[in-house]
Amino acid sequence: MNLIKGLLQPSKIASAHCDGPCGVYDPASARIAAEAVLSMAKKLVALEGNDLATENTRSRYITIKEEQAQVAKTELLILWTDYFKPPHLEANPEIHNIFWNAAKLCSQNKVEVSVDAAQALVDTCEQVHNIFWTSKSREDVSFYTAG
Amino acid sequence: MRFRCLTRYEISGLSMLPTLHPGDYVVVDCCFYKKQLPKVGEIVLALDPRDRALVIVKRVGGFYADGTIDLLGDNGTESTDSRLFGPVPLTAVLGRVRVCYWPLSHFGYVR
Repeated sequence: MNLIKGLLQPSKIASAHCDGPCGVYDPASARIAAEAVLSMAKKLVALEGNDLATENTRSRYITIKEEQAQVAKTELLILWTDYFKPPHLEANPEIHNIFWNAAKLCSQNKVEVSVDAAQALVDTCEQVHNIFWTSKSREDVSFYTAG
Repeated sequence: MRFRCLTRYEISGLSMLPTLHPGDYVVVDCCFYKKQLPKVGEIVLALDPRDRALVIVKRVGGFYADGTIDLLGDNGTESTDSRLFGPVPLTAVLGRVRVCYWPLSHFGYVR
């Protein structure tokens, strides 16, 4: 059978693909970044003192918070604009609103040091997780946090 | 249908499910549109508007007066098509996908 298949095999490929990373989308990458933002917000709130070493630590926490909020935003925007397609939107008209608010939360977490805003971002990632895996008809992927 | 017009292609990707499956072998008639225009609903082979080294297989979803057509995947949630890259010029269409010949369980006209 393999011989016949080999003889019949065309030399040319017709692509019925979606974009390159098709099939490897996963909201987990946004969730990990959001958790890092939450962790940094908590550490910043708890950090006391203004000696040089503490200032250095504070600066590092702020930098990581800023970077990870941007990572979360980028990952969410990729899901929103690349993965989700009009049929998903028909099934769940709230998608645009959820992602728009999620992107705004990422910005808010850069501007502020707020445990509440960071927790809201993680919660939004859980919402995205649920929409995403429901759209793939997967009920076996449950949400979890690393922190 | 002249034999020199016929070219065989292997399908890759999921965007034409359930009509065409990844790994299907199909025959494309590259002369089909020399005497007629593509019609809505036909499955065509076309140059990828974003990378002309690639050929894509999609279904004609719309036809515009300016000589462009919409190409859409049958599997809407896993397809990058005219919803993303817009209508493509008629000149990008290479031929019509006519027959699937492998695997034998998928043998038949492609519609």
